[in-house]
Amino acid sequence: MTMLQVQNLAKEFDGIKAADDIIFEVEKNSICGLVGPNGSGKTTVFNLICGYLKPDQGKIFFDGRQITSLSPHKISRLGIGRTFQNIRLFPQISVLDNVMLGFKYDKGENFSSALFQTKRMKQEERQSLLKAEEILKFTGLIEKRNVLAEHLSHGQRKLLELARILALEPALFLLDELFAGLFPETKRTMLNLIRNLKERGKTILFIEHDMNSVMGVAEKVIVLNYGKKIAEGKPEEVRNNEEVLSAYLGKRRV
Amino acid sequence: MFYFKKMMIQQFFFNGIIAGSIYFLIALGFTIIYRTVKFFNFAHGVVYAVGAYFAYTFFILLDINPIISFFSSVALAAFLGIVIDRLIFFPLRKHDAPNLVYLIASFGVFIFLQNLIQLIFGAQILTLRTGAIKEGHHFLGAVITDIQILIIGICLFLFLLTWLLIQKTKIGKAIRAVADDRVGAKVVGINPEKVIMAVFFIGSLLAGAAGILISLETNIEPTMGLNAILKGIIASIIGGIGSIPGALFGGLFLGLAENLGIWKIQAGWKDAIAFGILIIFLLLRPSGIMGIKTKKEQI
Amino acid sequence: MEYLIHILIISGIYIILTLSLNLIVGYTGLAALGHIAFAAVGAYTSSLLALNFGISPWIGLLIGAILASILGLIVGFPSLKLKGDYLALATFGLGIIVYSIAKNWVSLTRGPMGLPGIPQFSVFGYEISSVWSYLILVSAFVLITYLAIRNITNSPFGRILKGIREDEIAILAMGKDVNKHKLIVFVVGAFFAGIAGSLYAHYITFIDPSSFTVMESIAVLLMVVFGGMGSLKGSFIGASILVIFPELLRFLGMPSGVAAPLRQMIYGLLLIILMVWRPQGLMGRFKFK
Repeated sequence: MTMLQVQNLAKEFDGIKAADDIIFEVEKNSICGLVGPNGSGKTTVFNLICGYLKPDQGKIFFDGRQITSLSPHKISRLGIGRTFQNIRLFPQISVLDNVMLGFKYDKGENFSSALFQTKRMKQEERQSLLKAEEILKFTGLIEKRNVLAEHLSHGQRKLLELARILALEPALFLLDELFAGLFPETKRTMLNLIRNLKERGKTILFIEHDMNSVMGVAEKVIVLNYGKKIAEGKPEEVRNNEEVLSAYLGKRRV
Repeated sequence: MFYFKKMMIQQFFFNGIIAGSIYFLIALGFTIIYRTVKFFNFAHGVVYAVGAYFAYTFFILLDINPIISFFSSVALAAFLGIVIDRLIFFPLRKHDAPNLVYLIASFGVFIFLQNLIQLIFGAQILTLRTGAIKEGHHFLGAVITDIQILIIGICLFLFLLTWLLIQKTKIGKAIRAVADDRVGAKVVGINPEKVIMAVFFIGSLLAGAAGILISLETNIEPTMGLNAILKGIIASIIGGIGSIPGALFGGLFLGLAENLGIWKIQAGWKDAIAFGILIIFLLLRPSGIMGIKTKKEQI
Repeated sequence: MEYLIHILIISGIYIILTLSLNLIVGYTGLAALGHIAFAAVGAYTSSLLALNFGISPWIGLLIGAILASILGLIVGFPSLKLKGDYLALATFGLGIIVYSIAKNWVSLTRGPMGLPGIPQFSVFGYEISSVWSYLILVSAFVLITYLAIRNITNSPFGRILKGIREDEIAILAMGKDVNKHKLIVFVVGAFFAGIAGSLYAHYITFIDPSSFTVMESIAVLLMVVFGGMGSLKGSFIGASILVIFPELLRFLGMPSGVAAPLRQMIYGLLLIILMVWRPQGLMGRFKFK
C-alpha cells in the first residue's frame, strides 16, 4: 500500500534543476530515508510535496489522492506533518503553546467562538491541554512546558519540532534533518520515538545527509544527487552502490 | 513652475521632467542607501529639508556667497547623514534588528528633526529666491527658466558622478561588495562600517543637494521633507530599488505621470496617483523595472 | 475640571485605536501603518449620514464601523503578499490615499473646509452633550473593545495570530489558514478604529482631513509600541500617557507654536529610544520579527 507517490517531479531555479524528474514511492507504515549530499535537492522535494513550492512538472499523490499544488495548510490538514531543517519554532511563545497550535479545532479556532468564549471552545481547550501534556511527556519536554521556545537547547528544540507535529496527528511524517547536531543520547531518544511511531502505524520519510544515522532505522533509502535520483533500495544495497559512493566521496572506487 | 499663460501639454511635460529630476535625485541617495543596508531610511527626507534650511541660513540669513553656501550646506547634510547612521542605525545593526525596526526608527528621526526645524525656524514659508523672477525661455511651446535648466543639469551631472563612483572606482566596488554580501566583504578585508558611512555620506549629500535645488524653484517649509521622501521612495520602487538607472527611470516616470496626470485630473489628487502607482508596483512587481530581485525566504 | 474630563475622553478614543491596532501589529505581527484611515472612514460616514440624511449617530456609528471594516478587508489583501517593511509602505500609502480622498473629494467631504455641526449622540431624546455623559459613553465603548479583543486574543484563535507573528511558514505547516486569519484581524481592527472615529466626530462636532493625517497613524503606532506589543494593559497605559503628557506641556504655559513641535519631537525621540533600546515597550513581551 503506497502512502506517498512522487511522479516525475521537477523544479528549476535560475536555470538550475533543483529537482529533475524524481520518481519514488513510500510504502505505508514504513520508515524511508531520503539521502544525498548537500544541495542534492532533498529539502526542495519536501517543499514540493508540502506545497511550499509549485512543481514545474510532475504529480504527487498522498494515500491515493492527488495533492500537487494544494496550499501548504491544506496538505497539513490532510495528514502530512513536516519538520524544518532550520528549525521553525515559535520563539516568543511557550513550549506548551507551540504544541497546542498543532491541534485541529473544529469550533475553538473559529473567530466567533473566540469572541464569545463559548463553552465548546473552552471544552476543546481543556481536551487539547491534556493531549498536549501527553505529547510533551512522550517527547520528554514536560518539565519545560512553560518555557519560551527560544530558551530551549538545540536538542530540545528538535524534540519540540517533533512534538508539534505529533499534535497534528498526521499519517505521514516528513522529518528534515531531525538528527543534525544532536548529542548521541538525544539521537537515541529520537530514534526510539521514530520506531514507536512506526509501531503506531505511522509512515515516515526522513531526510538525513549522514548515511550512518539512516542505516539503523530505515527500511528503504532513496539517494539524490544534483536533483536526480541515483539509487533506491535497502540501505545495505545502496551503501555499496558505485554512483552513491562517488556522489559522497567525489571519486570512484577502483 | 506654473506660468500663467496658455498651458499646453508640452508645459506639463517639461514640468514633469523638472519634478522628475528632483525626485530622481532624492531616489538616487535613497536607493544607494537601501542597496547597502537593506532598509527604507525615512530620515533621508529630513536630511533633504535640512540641506535647504542650511542653505537658507547661510545665503539669506548670513548673506554668504551662494556657491559657498551651497557646498557648505550640502556637506553639512552629508555629515548629518553619517551622524544619524552612527547614533541610531549602527546600534540597531549590532542587535541585528529586523528591517521594520530600522524603518520605524528612521521615522522617529524624521519626526524629531522636522519638528526641530519648525521649532527653530517657525512654520512659515521661506524662500531662497532673491530678486524678481526672470522670464523663461520659450522652447517647443513651453516655458523653461534658467534655474530649471540649471536644476536638470546638476541632476544629470550628479547622476553621472554617482554612477561613475559606484561602477568605476575602488570605493564603489567596496560599496557593491558590502551591498551584495556584507559578511563576504568582511572576509576579503573590507570594513563594512566604513563603507556604510561612506554610503550615508554620499546619499545624504545627494538629499541635501536635492533640497537646495528644489528651493530654487519652490518654497521652503518644515514639512517639505515628507512629500520629498515619499516621492523618492515611490520613484525608487518603480525604477527598481537598489538600481541607479532605476532611480533615474523611476524619478522621471513619477514626475511625468504626476504632471501629465494633473493635466486631466485635479492637482490635489497627485499624491493619491503616486501612491496608487506605488501599491500597484508593490503588489505586482516589487523589484521594480530594473531592480535587484530580493532573495526569497529560505524554507 | 471639564478640561480633565475632556482629556480622559480623548484618551479613551485613542485607547480604542491603540487596542485595535495592537491586535493587528502587536499580536499578529503585521506592519500596518495607516490605521487612522479606518477612523477617518468611520468618522466621515457617521457624520455625513447624520448631516445629510438625519440618521441617528448610533446607526451611523455602526455603518461607519462596517464600512471601515470593508476598507480593512481591502487593506488586508496586500498583507497576504507583502512582508515587513514593504507592507508598512503599502499600508502607509493606503493611509495617504484615504487622506487624499477626504481632502480632494470636496463634493462629498467638503475637503479642507471640513464638516461642522455634527449632531451628538442622544438616548431616549436626551442629547449626550455634557462631558460627563460623553465620558460614560466612551468608557462603555472602551470596555466593549477591550473585552472583545481580550477574548479574541485569549483563545485558540489568538494563539494562531501569535503563531503568524512568530513564523508564517511554520504556522502553515500546522494546518492553519494564514490568509483567512490575516484578513479577519484587519477587518476587526478596522471595525473598532471606525468606532473610535465616529466617537471623535460626534464629540468634537467638527471634522476635517487634518485630524486624519499619516502622522496620526504613526502616533497610534507609537502608542502600541510604547505600551507594549501584545499587551492590552500596555495599550491603556501607552495611549493614556501619550495623550496626557503633551497636554501637560500646555499647562506649563508654553505657546502653541512651541508646544506643538515639541510634542512631536518627543514622539520622534520616543520612537527612536523604543526601537533601539526597548522594542517591546513598557509592558510588552514581544518584539518585531
